[in-house]
Amino acid sequence: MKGIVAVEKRISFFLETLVTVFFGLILILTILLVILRYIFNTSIVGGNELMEFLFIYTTALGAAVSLGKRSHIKVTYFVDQLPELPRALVDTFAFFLVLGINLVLLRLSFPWIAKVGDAASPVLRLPSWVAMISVPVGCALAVLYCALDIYKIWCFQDSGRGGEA
Amino acid sequence: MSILLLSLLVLLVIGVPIAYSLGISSFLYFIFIHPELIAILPQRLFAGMNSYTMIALPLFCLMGFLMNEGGITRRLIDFSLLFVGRLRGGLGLVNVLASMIFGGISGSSVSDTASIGAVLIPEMENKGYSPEFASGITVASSTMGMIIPPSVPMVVYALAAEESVGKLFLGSLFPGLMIGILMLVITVGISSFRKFPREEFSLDTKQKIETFNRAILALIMPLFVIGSVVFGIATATESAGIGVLYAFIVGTLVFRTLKVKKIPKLMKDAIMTSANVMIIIALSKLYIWILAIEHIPQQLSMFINQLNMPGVWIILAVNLVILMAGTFIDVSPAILLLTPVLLPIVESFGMNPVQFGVLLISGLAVGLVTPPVGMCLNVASAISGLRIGKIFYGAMPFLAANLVTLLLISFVPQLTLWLPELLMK
Repeated sequence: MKGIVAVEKRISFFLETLVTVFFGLILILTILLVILRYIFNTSIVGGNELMEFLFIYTTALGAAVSLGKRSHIKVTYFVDQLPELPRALVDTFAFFLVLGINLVLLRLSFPWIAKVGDAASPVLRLPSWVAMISVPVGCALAVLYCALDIYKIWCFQDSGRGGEA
Repeated sequence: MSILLLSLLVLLVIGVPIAYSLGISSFLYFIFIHPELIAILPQRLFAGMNSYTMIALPLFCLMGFLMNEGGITRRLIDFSLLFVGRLRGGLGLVNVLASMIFGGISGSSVSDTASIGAVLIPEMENKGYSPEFASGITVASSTMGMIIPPSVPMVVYALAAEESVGKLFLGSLFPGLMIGILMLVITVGISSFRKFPREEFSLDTKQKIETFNRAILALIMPLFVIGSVVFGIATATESAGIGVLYAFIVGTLVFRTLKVKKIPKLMKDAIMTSANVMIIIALSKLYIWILAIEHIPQQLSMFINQLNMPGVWIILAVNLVILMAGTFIDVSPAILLLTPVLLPIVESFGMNPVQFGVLLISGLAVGLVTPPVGMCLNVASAISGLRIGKIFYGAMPFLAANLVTLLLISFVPQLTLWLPELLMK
């Protein structure tokens, strides 16, 4: 059991580091673009587009990691009033629903990418699937985290509460 | 329509994250009403995540985190002490004034409560203020954090309503300041009645100038950020990026209190906060798209118009809905859920989208300090050890300032529109 938790921690650490690096790149690009425009009267071709691509990845990956950390914004007031066992049951049901919607999105994203993924982006001329693939990747990770959350609820009685709304 | 609303309500109540509640409700709608459109789900999710404007969100968060970590709180408190410390209830007044300035720097009410509360709540208790008053004034004054520009919720609203960030920043300036001034007046009144102490200190001119200089670099940052957006020098995203650079330089090279090794952690916190909000935005756009194709906002607006009720009552009812929503739902999801439904209604009664944005955010700010779910109350409770009910009791007199301002925003459009119209024609 501890092995699974250790693996989850490593995956989360890797993903958080990746997301932070992407954010660092966005930050550098933002500042660089302003400086280039006002001081050197020039720009980086495709800079804004690259920032958008990176930002999409930070959202897709960050949202998945947040499931593992249970830091998603939600209304916890009503469930918090329940005794321990019913609360664990409701939490499990909620995680099953989140797992389910992510499976649906994962399943639907492949035909969507196959259909339009080859279209080139406006400036960088990168195939669109480079950014689009963040959707199935994020959903697959979300499925994994939901499964781990359900496992933790019943194996560790870990009914930790998430971000309060 | 009923599937969409009922399923969302049930999912929220059973604690499904707000983002996924929106996604599941939309999925159920497609399954039962338009199964032929279901393939559009991932495409709409992707489109919702793809927003250049929203890159400003993590950048504004990081700017606030950097300034806070750079030791801005103590400098602002000392600066405020200089102006209002000698009056009766000096520390209470300092609390409000520091929150007004801090709001312009952090853009977040929760970080305002945490930073100012950590310093001033224990200090006020030591000086003989009641714990309820010390915690209450801290949480109530922190509501200005998300109203006084630059403000993260304003950026979220700008996206939801397709409005100008600059106009919203300018529109929220006077209402934010008005709340602060009214809170100062209330503090003076309570302090005189309860005989709270004045702060005794003597500073020579040199020390006063030093205190001023210690704060000035932080004070000019909001002017710099807002000015660049308002005067079209930079986009909201770019101005937030420059704000981050400014906060970094001031924190590391001038204040020398910001440790470089702490920056990756602050960056991680900022981008994870952003991801949590962005996934709600992405899935709410899907939900809003369904509302639009079902013409729900128009139908609701027509229904309300057919009631032939005076506009005043409708606007008051909208205020009530906002205040109620704020007590249960966090600010960003509330903005995303309420804007597409309420904006067409208030527009049909002549309200400007900028005016409504300021109204919405000012109303939702009150929700942060009202039980049962109030993020600022939880933070203040962790600092003071008081139950949230007692903190709310202490905050109640000050919330009168928020409610009065809310009514003024609702019925005096010039309060929110005069400055944007003057500077951003």
